[in-house]
Amino acid sequence: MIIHQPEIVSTQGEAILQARIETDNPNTGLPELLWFSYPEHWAGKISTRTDNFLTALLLIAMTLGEDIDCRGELSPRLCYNLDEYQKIFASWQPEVFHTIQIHSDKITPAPASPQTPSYASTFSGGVDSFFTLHQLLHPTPKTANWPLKYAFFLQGSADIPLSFTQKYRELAQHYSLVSQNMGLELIPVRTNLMYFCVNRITLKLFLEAPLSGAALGLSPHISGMFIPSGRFYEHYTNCTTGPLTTHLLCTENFECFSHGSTTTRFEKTKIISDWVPAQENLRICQGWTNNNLENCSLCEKCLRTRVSLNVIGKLEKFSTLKFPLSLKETLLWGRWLELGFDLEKDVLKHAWLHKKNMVPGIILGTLIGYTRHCLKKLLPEWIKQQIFKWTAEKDPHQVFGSNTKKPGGAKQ
Amino acid sequence: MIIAKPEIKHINNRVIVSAQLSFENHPLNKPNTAWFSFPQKYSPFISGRADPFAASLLPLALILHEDLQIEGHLSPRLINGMREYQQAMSFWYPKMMHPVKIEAAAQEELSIDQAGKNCVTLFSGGVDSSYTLMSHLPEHEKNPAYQVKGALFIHGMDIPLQNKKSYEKSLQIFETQLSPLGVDVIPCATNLHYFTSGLLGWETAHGSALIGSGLVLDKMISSLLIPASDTIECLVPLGSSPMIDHLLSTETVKVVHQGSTVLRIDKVAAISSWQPARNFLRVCTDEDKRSAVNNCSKCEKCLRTMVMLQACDSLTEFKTFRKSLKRKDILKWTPQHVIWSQQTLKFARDRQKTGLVFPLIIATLNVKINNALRWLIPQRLFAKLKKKKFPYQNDVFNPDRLKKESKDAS
Repeated sequence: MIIHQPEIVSTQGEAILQARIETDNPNTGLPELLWFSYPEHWAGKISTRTDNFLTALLLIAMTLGEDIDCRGELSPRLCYNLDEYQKIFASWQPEVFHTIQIHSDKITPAPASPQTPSYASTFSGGVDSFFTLHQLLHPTPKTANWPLKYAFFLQGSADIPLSFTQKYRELAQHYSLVSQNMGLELIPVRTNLMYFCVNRITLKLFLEAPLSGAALGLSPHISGMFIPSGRFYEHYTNCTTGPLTTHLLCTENFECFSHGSTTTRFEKTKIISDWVPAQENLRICQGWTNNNLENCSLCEKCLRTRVSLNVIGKLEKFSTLKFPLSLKETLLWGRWLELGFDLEKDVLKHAWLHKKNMVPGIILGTLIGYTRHCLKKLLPEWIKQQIFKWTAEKDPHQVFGSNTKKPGGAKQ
Repeated sequence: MIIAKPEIKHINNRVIVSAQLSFENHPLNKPNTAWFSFPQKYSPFISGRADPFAASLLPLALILHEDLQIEGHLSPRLINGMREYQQAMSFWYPKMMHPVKIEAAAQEELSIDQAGKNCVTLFSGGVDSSYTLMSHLPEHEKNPAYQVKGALFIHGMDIPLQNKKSYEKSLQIFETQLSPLGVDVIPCATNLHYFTSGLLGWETAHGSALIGSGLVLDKMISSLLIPASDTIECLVPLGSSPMIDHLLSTETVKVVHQGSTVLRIDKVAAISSWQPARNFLRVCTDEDKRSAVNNCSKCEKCLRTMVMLQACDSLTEFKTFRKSLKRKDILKWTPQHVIWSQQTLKFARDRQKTGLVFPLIIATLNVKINNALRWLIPQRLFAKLKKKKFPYQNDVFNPDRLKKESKDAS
């Protein structure tokens, strides 16, 4: 795989950092260009090094088994760390990821920032995002006090596909105001990177790539980035945005941190439950529609959050979620329970102490969830397919098959 | 807990950086001063900042539940990293450790023109550090920024300060073997281990102490390699981990946890044909029975390494172990982690070392039975029994023993 020298192109109010991508195998079906699009006023601060393209495409190249040749400048620290990064993924899924060599004739340290350090956090409007912002904006002598100035809002990730143009535009406008009120600048970034990973890599292994790619494009103006993580220090295998892999995506003057890995989901929900920006703007829905900005309140993620907030006693304060929560919805929550994170235990414990009327519903829901989980584990495949096809969540991969236009009119 | 502004002194051809400590409740018989000592020639590389003391004494503050006040210049990057680090430690050890306030009188980074430019690894002569060093020599590491220039060998970490002979002999051997390779063996001494003995297991406290020792040489080091003890397949809460070591970096010294993606048996295989390692491999944990680089060849660590070397057909080449490993030794071996015997078993099977297969199966069974029995014993009872078997008075890192044995020596 060759990552050609990146270039910046200005068009229709956006500054696009793009690089031509060539593969040894001509039939990979990958797009010819990888691009990241930033607001036009960032044009003077975009880096044309290949650091961000390398972090974005490394896993893709590993699935192809092709060495990467970077034609632009490359950080020696990033190169070194990505060797380790590769070995981690290759050990998790050796049948998918093969370690490769990274070549460049221009290995030069990333330049230092000309100003005092400033950090960014990725932001999607979810519980993890709001928790990270809350902690970083309200530091104490026991918690870190990083100089947070920016929030990245990404289109083209698993969360908001490129085809959801209306949704993204409206959310970006809305979150820009929300960020301003918090003293931050929202940087809406768009990328077509997910088209490279379709049908190659599961989404949960490809969460860091577009985020780090987008942020490194603005290094060294941005000194580092926080990625809100739903992963604990214990649950670090076969997943990204966790404390094992995120910090490896760094150069001499840019660092990436996973944030929130020591706090349970329930605890995060509790902490943000009294925070007005979260109450007015929480967006967690897995609903895949372009024209609906609101949470559906019935999918797995919506139910998880509604049950937690209801037990905490703050659900009615959240204007983006339906209130009240019915017994049927509590049972539905149990059906979608993701085991291993002890959320059901936290919820039950809190309900026992503060909301006893919810306890029977939670216990019943948990039993349903555990039963479903056991059945999924123990039943033979042919029976599972028949039963669970009626109950499975929508496959988000379907969304990335659509043909969308690159800024400027050229097709993908 | 207050760490006073560090002082630099030059005594007997050595440079000593020290900081006075004040506690709200002075724990046990701990000293009042933490110090690092280097040969005089390293004096130009020491800035005398508070970074090393802050990083290395953080676990002590957490276990004592005392807020940490640091005087002297502290890196802004490090103080934030420490606050993140303590969140992780408190998450892993919720009953022992709680986050504390960390405040510094002056936050200022080391200027870029004073920053170091060298890659240095922590080094003890064991499997992990030998592998890290070997894999970062120019013939293996093509990235010049990560070709190792120095190996930091610390007196007071696993070799008690009162045992000077063992340290000096080991140092001499390391220098003889590594200097021809262009690696400068950097001798360092510190009393950090004496602060946490009796309060906190060394497996929890050692990570920050190692990193702190490297941070002293901030005008020499740009990348500090910490050899990994565990692999990513079986990470357990530990003072040094690929998930948290990097948090104790400063703006100019980057801490790199190295080797966690390489299996222990593969590390042993890699160094088994490396002549310097054959001359100095030092793994023994039995302070009474080991001597410099000569291993007792009986403790779990020695057996573990010998079994792996046997699987690589290299045991007889290693001068620091007894030549032969009998079948009954392997049968009696109870590895600390089941994964070690399992990985060695797979390695032996792949290389058709049929003679090792059965003993390794038994060794795997041994550790599983051991773990099952351990699981049956309540945590508190186990801690009590451990304290009774290994009382603090007999701990070689008990400061009273250091005072007594230094007095006897003089």
